[in-house]
Amino acid sequence: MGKETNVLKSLEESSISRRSFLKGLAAMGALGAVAGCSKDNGGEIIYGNTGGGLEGAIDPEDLSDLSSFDVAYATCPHNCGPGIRCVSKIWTKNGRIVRVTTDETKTDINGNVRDKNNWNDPRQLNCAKGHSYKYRVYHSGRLKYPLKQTKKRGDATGFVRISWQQAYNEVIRKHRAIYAKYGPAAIQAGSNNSSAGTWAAPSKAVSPITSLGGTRGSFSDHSFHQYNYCYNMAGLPNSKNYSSNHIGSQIPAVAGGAIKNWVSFGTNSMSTNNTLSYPYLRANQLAKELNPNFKHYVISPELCDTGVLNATDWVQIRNMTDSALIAGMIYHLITNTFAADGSIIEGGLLDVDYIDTCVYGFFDSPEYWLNETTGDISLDNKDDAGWTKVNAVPAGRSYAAWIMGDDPRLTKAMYSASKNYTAKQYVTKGDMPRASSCSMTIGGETPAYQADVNATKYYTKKDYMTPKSPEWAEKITGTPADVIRELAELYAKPENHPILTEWTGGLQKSENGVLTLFAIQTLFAITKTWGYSHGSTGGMYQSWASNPGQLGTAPEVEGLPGLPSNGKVSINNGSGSANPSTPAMSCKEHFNGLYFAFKDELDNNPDFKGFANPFWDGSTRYLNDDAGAKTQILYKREDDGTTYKTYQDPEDGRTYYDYVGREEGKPVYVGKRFYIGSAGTQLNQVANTNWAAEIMKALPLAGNNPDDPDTFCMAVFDIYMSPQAMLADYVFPMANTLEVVDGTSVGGIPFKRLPLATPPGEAKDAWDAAFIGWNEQSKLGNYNAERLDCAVPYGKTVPADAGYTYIGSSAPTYKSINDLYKAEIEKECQKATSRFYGMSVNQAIAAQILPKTASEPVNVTETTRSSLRQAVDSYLDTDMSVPFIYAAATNKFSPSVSNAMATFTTETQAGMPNKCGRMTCYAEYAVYTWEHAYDIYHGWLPADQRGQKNKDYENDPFIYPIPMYYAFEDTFNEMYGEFNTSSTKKDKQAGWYTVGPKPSSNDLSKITDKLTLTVGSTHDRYRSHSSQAENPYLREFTHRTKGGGWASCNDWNEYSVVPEIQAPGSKGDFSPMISRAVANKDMTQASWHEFWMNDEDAAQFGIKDGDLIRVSNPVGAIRVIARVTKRIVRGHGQIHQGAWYDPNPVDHVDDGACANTIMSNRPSRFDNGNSVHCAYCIVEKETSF
Amino acid sequence: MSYKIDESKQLGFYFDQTRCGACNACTVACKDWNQVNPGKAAWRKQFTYELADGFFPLAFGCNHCDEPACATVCSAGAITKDANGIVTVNRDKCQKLEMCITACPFAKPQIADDKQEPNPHVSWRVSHPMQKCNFCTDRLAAGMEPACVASCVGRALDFGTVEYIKNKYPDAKRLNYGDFPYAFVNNQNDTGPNLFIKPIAKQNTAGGMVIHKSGSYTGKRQD
Ligand code: SF4
Ligand code: SF4
Repeated sequence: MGKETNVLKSLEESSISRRSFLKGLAAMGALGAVAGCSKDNGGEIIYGNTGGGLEGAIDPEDLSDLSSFDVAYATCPHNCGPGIRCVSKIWTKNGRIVRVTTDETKTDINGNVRDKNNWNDPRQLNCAKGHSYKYRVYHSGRLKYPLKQTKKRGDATGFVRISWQQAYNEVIRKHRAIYAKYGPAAIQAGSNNSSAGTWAAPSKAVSPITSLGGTRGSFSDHSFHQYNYCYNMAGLPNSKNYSSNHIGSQIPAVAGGAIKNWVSFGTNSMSTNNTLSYPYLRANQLAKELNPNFKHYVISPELCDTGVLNATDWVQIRNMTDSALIAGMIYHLITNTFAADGSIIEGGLLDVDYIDTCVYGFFDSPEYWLNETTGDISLDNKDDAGWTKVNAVPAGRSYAAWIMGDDPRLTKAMYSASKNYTAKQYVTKGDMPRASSCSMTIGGETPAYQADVNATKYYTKKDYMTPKSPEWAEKITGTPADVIRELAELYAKPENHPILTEWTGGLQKSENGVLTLFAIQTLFAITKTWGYSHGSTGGMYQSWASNPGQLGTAPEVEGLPGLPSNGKVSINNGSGSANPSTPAMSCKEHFNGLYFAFKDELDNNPDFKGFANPFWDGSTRYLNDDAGAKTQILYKREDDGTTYKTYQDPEDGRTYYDYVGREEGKPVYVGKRFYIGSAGTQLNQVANTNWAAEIMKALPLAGNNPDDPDTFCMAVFDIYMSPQAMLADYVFPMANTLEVVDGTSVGGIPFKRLPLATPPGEAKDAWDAAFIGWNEQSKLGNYNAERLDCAVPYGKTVPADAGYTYIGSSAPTYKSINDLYKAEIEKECQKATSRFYGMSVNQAIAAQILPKTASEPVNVTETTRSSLRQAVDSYLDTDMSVPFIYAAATNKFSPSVSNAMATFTTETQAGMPNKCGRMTCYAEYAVYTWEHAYDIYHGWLPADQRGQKNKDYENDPFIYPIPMYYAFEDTFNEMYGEFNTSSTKKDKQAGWYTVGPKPSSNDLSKITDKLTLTVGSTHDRYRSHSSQAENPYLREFTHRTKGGGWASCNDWNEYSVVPEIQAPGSKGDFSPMISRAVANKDMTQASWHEFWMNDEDAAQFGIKDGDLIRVSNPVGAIRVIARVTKRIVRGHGQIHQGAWYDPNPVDHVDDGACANTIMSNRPSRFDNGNSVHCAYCIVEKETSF
Repeated sequence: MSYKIDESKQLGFYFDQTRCGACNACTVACKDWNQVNPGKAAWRKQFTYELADGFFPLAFGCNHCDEPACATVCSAGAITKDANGIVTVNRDKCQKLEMCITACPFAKPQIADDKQEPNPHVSWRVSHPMQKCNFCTDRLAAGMEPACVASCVGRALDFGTVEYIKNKYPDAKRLNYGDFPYAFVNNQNDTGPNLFIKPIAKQNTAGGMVIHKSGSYTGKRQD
């Protein structure tokens, strides 16, 4: 040791490489399967080579001289959602990306040394996804050429290579044909994409096609469907503005000690939001240091990484049972507020006067009239101006009535015992109890207190009369009753406030997600934990999006010129009619549009057998309670082309939108007929992948006749042959973010750059692509088409030079955006006044980034109360003999749900229940909205199918207005067809027979001979949804070989679509598999996704860590590797969402383990959204591998 | 901090177990920097170990031990320890005897397969000579931190001379079997590993997590 001081010495001695690399490259050719040899079809057109992206790799020998690299900043090219994108530095050599590093600045611009103990350390460090990016750019699955399907959707051997011009030409013709016959409602344009940046995102490449007209409107999003619907369901002040209540904005109050306690319902914020993760954990540490009594409860079926580091208490809970936990808590509060004789206990846990004053529907209450200005309450009919009628909360129907069941104490608790103004007014015509016996019905009419619980198959109803005590909740949730009481008191006692309550996406995206979020909100309302400047506002996970300043300040300096955005092409309406608007339906509903449009073709197609949809027997073309499914016919328009015509229904006298074919009794079924876009929204990211895939496979190809309006067309713009691209009619190869100019900010600092790599084959950025697309649109010329819905035809003028116009140029000079923008920067560098003066282009790009100054952490040591909260508290300090004025002003407490479904006939609108002016546990308006959703569009339907029928399979209400617990067993019995007694040619349990083992009983709650688990599908930190699912560096963390240890996956270059590989005995008429190793049963390389499950469950059923297992239910089946862990509660399993769908052609089990393969597409309760965190599955050892 | 690197003093790593969010940014940053292709060989790995008394995140690679067992057992003389205490493998000399792999308590010497390492070098005697963490020597020479330290999202990692680490993190414990048994996958020998860890509290101890365990539920509703 110790002769020379140069640390490079050892490097030299270690001889990392000698000139030897060519030998390696030669050896590499033997690695991959032999690709197809024709240049027009076969594997060659998709991949070109199978070297796993190694072709062109730099000899390691050339890497030792660090000064020989070009190092360029980039925003992390991975689009993981809102917030500050991390800082990536891309190391390239000879135009090839070699490394990705992150913000390694040791000091800020003022020379201050970075302080790793400062929760506010402003360095935005890449996560594993960002560091892995090289393998996303260089990957054997990259698309190289435009492709057209010629055999059958999903058959990779049917793809032929076509030109960009032909691809655009045919897709535009198809769009024109479908648009003319079915209007814009038939068109869905995907907005999601896996590449960030204006000219990488496919939306610009799509625009030459869709700009001809509108597309189907949609509401909400797949991530927050339930939240978007119900964030204000209880009317908590501030709940709307979640951006100011998001978890990022709470950090200063955690770090400063203002937050006394933290409760996380199922959150994994650190992993979901990498940029938030360090401040989150550091603030949590500081809170513990400041306050030895600080508690951070993590209430979750999984102890995620966030929980491991941050929880003081992991409260185990079964999946989907949070609203039962909250009911148990509230029971404890009620029974510690009211004595057995109904009298109010002095110093009880609930503030009854407060609840009377501010919360509607917790207790039963009479019908009354509310003076809108004074807050006066009168039981006398005041049907005149200035008074609002508030409906009764009927006897036995309040939240408390459901909670108490047959516990009689609230039936003895009379309003007359309370002296607050509201209670006194309620009894002006006679006393009444706070809650009568639970009167929800069983069997259609019988109130629960009279009913025979054996008359129902629903566990929910069997429990109506059971007091929802902590012991009851323990049975449902698994959470010990004592802990439920502890949590109840945490919320009820003011000395514990403010509590930061955090929840995340996993609580919603579940069949009963709305009820769960509603229950949490009502907990805040009842326990008065709202109205603080921090905490207890229902703060959900969110990134730092809205307050980047918190994480340091970027120096204010002049930046580089903006990227060329685009020249818009205007397509004039000429003398024709305008584009009709389309009814907005739920974003998740597009999926069912295919069956709506093509039911007849599908039913008559003997190949279509993928109806793994047991709750829906296929006898109707639409599902009755779908968010917008029944608006998918063609409605008549006035001559302006947009305004709906109406007609009055002779039977019910209501006024509906008129529709084409009414006279003949033949509506035109529009549905979904054309999809254009990117990413996985049509397959991987929607529930029930098998169903989606089978429909698309069964429908005739678009390319058979591009002018035929009656064939479905899917055109996919992607960078990979992803599962969705596999099913496409046309595939457009796109450049990756790092291969295009980009203008996305880096770590919150404005930043623009030139491409850092070259796209493969003919892959293009959106600028080049759009130019071609617009030229093709121009060549096809003006658009004149008769339309069925309007007397005046479409007449649109397409400019002859649309291609040039779009890129802000004029014929015949074409300039790529790369050249144009480079010239812009050069100009800037020549400007004497510019701070970039005299720099080279690369220097100027680099000079944009100046390290941010670390801001002093602005710790919040004390919370303040909002003015409304102060008003409430002041009122409660009085004798409460006068009306509480704020209850009158409906803008203070104003519960609501999303009005996306609220398009009603005038008559329906008139019957809408009035706002109660307080917070609420009784969302009557939500039930009414649901019952009549979209009914103005429903004239074409039989009267009993207009709106939505609020009846379950036993003729009881399907939804009630209270945040009750809906038994998950019932949910699954509904989903999997147990309740569905209609007899059709479809077997309601078909899924069990085709894809999985048949259970001993169809009643899933009774299965005891197999391990049956609820399954959730939370986000994975090593993918962004389905983006990066193919990245081999990242797959190591989620995949394992059979029997292998952790991180034992090595399917590098095995994960790409391989047309040559068909299953044994195949005639080549089905999809090849994405994983070559799995298809070949090469057990040294084949890897499967991990499935997390409980160690005791596993032991009981003989499953060991590393076992290959099958997880199945009537919807589908996936093959996965058991990850046996103590971090999952008993009875539950977790498969992270986003893995690529890869069904095995032999047994139909999804070897890719896309979570949605086992997710039912039954819409969620209330919001009719996606319930993709919600499955019930048999879990058993795999025997076929 | 002039003594953070001293070219004649033993270097070591610091790891704060209370801050490792298991993100694996360091794992990938290490592979990416050192051009280790996807595959089983990973110089550095992160696991959150499960013991009866808690969950223990740990991310580490070679600890550049005071008494490197790997070097001692290597009869090919491929492994040496340099002035900084960095334990280095000369891949040209490796004969794939693989004794180092089992001698190392932590199994940090690694062997790739054909798939992961398709480019054998003519100077190698075997197709896949041993590889392991070299403390990012090239980065140190350029004044940069090792890739793992520079990338650590949880700000859980540091490096420097052992003197620096002990000074700056007096509460950190040197990696040892008694406190961190899960790290010792091959044997329990004390090789003098230069990894200093601030431990996370065990379950049900001061500062540790309490688990409120749920009962069993396997498919049958309990009436
Ligand atoms: S950790 Fe293992 S490989 Fe590293 S020096 Fe110690 S014994 Fe050798
Ligand atoms: S980067 Fe840091 S926080 Fe992430 S796994 Fe590595 S040591 Fe842990």
